[in-house]
Amino acid sequence: MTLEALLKHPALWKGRQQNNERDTLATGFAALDAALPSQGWPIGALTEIMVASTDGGTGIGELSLLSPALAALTSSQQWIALVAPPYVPYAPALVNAGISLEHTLIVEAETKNAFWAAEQMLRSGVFSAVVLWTSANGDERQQRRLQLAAEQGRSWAVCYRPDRTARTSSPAGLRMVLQHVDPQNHSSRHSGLQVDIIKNRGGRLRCLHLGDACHALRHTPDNGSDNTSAPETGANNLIPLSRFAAVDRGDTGNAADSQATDRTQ
Amino acid sequence: MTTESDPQQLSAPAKQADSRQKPGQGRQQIWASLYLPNLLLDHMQSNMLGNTQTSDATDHTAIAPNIAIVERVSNRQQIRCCNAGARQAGILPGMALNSAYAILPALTAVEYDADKEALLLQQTGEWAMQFSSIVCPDGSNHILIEIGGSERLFDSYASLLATIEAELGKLGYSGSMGIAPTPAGANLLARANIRRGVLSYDRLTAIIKPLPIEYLELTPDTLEGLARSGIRSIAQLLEISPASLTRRFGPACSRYLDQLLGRHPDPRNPLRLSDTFTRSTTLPIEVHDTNALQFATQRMINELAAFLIARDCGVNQFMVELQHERHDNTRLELRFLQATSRPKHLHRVLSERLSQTQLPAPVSGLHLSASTFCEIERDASDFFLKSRSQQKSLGEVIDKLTSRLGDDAIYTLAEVDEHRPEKAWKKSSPEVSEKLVGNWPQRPLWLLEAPKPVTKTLQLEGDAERIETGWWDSNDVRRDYFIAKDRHGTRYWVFRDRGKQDSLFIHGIFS
Repeated sequence: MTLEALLKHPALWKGRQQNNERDTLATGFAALDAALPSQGWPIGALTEIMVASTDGGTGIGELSLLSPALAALTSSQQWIALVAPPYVPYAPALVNAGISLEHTLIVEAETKNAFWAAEQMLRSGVFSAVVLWTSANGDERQQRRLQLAAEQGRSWAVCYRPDRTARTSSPAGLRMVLQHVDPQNHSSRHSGLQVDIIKNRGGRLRCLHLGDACHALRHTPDNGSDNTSAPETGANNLIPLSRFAAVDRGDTGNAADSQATDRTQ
Repeated sequence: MTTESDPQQLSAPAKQADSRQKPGQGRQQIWASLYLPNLLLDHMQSNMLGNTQTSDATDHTAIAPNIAIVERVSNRQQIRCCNAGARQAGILPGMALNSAYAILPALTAVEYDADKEALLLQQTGEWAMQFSSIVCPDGSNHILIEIGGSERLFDSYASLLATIEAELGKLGYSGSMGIAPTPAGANLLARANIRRGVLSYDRLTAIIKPLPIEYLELTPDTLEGLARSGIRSIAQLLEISPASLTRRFGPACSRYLDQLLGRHPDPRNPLRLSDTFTRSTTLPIEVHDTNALQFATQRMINELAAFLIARDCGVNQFMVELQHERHDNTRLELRFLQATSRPKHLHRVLSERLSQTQLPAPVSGLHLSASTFCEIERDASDFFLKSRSQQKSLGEVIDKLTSRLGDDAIYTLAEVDEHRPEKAWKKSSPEVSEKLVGNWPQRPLWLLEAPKPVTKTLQLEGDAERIETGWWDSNDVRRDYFIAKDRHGTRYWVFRDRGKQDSLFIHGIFS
């Protein structure tokens, strides 16, 4: 038997490809896709996004990071929901980003009801993506409920949390800290959006730079060069793990365990 | 064939039975009779059940208070019937109310109301129309359901019976059932609690013969007269010639026997569904907590759902009124995004709404009304391209959210063809298709509801976008918009009012 034939054998398990079967959603950013297991946002799991050190935790392109995926969902007639957005989601800008307003539901609610509403929507399986903003710290139990609801409804849950919660543990499948870096202010060779993946179930912890691609005012997903301005060489993408990594490495190491506990609850 | 029957007598009714069927209706009628002897009592009991905050309908006796229905017989109040709890305490039908109070001071006595019972029977009849289009409430606590035509819809008579009994349990009622080819026969089997389905006249005759005559629907005088003549069983009664029976007890008696055995037609008036659905319930005890209304509302919703199934339609709005003794009634109007007839969904939305309702006073009664019905959208499956199975529809999820968060909290967005940024969007609702505008210049994903004066140093990028419009109404706008960046990298959409050059306002955030 040749190696090729052996590799095609269904019983053979390839370590790198263990998550290929999992549903994902292309992020629209090649560098980010490459960093995530099975190349995209995880469906049926919670993604936590924390924005570091800006006032109000907004304005560095953290929503634009999602917009290619949200645009892809809505343009194939699937529903998405924005729960408790901090400001008015501006219809003209959403249209510019390619998001179909007809399939975007806005839910206004204060913190407690926002979690409840997000959970209901995730669990129903009607919404392909539910994005929730919360300024409260929240607790692990709430995040676990979201994670379970996303699993049950096979839906993509996104929760924007304050950056101080990056140091707490969470059952979310994917956690990232976003930061705007600038060579003048930071000891960084890059500028633009820095995505620091601090938990990545089934994948590795990475820190990558998407440059200003995320801040592009109008996305053209078909245009490959526009998607990312990450450096060509992969080695440059790998930057020593940032300050959060030390805290959460244990968490990631137990990814399999936490998955198991999720199931049992 | 049984030996004691006259063969000639048997062949004659069979012919008659054939001839009385309408042409083209080439099937035999099969009647199921639902006997509800304690309808009023069950109704009261299940209304009080809500007070104990449990929906476990099987556990009546353990938690339900003791209730008795009282009637006035020749100037004396006596017990007509009572529930199991009261019976265990030693209360018997026919006992004087005063004696009953002596045994059980906490007894809840409710006056018997024949009109109310007839209304309940009629309403239960409407509920039964989900099983068949021919349903006839029958005077003495019976509901006749013609099931010959419905058998095909259910697997067998046995499964149909099981379905009817299970649904009946959800209303909080208990009863017995019988199946026979004649209405009177079905009633008889139901009262005798013979569950076997009897599909032929011969079998019916054979089965009822050993039964005592007390199960027959004859006047008390006739029954007493028969008993005095030494007639105990139906077999004995059938041996007497019809002519002598008529001579002794009038034509009604022998006519009833003929109808019972299918020798004589027994036409019934089927119930017709009314155009509107209304249900009222008075609670035996005032209720302070909306949780305690669960069972009463559950029954109303089940009846509403059955009504909708019978009419083959759905509701997208209905009204619930909570009646208070010393306060104006609380009116709750429930709306649904999509017409529905699913009791689970209707009840979930109603209980969500009730749990959000502050009661101004204790509730003494409930009223539910629905008057506008519409077709149910059945083929909603390809509404979403998602192939995975959806347990719930979008409408159900939105209804649930709306009932807790309010109508204004859930909406979709729409563009408005308007140059003033704050007016270039509006709220819309799902399923409303809005005009698309598109082709916008650079716009931020977040818009501030009210522009905020800039208090920090911002670095302006690029050229100004001049927006000068609205002179025709009072909201005249003359602004230059810029994209500005702060030292954290946050990008804002800022404007400067033309004329007031020094003040910058933040209007949006590029997120």
